[in-house]
Amino acid sequence: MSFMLLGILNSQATGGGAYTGPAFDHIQTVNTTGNNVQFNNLDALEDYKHLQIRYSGRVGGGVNSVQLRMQMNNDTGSNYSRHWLYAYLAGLGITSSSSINQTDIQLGDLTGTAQPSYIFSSGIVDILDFHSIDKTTNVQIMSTEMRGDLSNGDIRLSGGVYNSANALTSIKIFNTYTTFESGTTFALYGRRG
Amino acid sequence: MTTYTLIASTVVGSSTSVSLGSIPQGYDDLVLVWKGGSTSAPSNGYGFKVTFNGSTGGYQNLIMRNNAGVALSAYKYANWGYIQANTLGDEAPYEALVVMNISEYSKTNKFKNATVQFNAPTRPQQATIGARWDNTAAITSIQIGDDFGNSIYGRFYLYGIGN
Repeated sequence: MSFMLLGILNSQATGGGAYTGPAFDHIQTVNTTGNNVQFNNLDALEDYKHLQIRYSGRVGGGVNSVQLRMQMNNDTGSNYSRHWLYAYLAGLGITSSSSINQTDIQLGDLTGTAQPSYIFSSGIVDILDFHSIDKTTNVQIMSTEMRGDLSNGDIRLSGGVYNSANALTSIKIFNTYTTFESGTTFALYGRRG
Repeated sequence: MTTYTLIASTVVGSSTSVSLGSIPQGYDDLVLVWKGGSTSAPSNGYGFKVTFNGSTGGYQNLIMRNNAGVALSAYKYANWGYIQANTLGDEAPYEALVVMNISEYSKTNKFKNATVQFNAPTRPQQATIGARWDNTAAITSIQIGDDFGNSIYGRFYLYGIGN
């Protein structure tokens, strides 16, 4: 016997006496065909403790994939650390790596136009305690990029550190090779404290 | 502006499958969360499967999984009949805790990506999974079952994220 849930039970969490917060709010969505996205004026987001960026992306240039990157506060110096744990399709295995004194945090690969047109990569980026002025800023990422024939690509858990005690005022997401394809979106959300 | 919205939830005592239907199309992403299990012991490697719109083809799976005391292992299931969402504990309760993120579920110009993280405490086993459904149809329903054919139970919650 199969159980079927009929209809939709909207907004049950707001029902009588139910727990209603803290909230998770949409702040801004950018649809772009440029080569970078910038979220500015983050210092004005006083109601939020943490940020989350959810992306779905694809790039041009006739490539299979390119690396998606992130910088904070327009800081292009060697002030970032990054590490990864991922399962990869080419040869099917798992590896990990890390590096310090880098000029960006790597978010994951984006599918390119050498791959079938309906294939996009996606990821979720959590940025913790971004108003803090007494510690570095930590980022964690879960991303996936898989070729059409599964000849390459990965599922990746990544971490990054911005080695500055400054509060975040801006985030830039970019790649260094080509432009984003139509359909690429970056959505910024805030978690209330 | 609050956007982490509960769309549907259900508690199932024993059933061959669960279907979450009539999913509204106004969100960007979906998050499916469950704690569930099998009513009888599963075979090693089996667990819950997820399909969209009742379709049983075109699913790609890349799994990064570890067992207690064993090195990480990668598994690939190409052109599969479902998303291999989790394995289950091999001692009672035969359960897992699962969070599945589904990106851009309503877009008809994209294949559908999902990432899954699960923990099966009594095996113990945990994994992160990248999955893709090679179909451009908007996702309007989600089916959850057991790929070993056992009946399942659990609590299932579907959330919408978006504007």
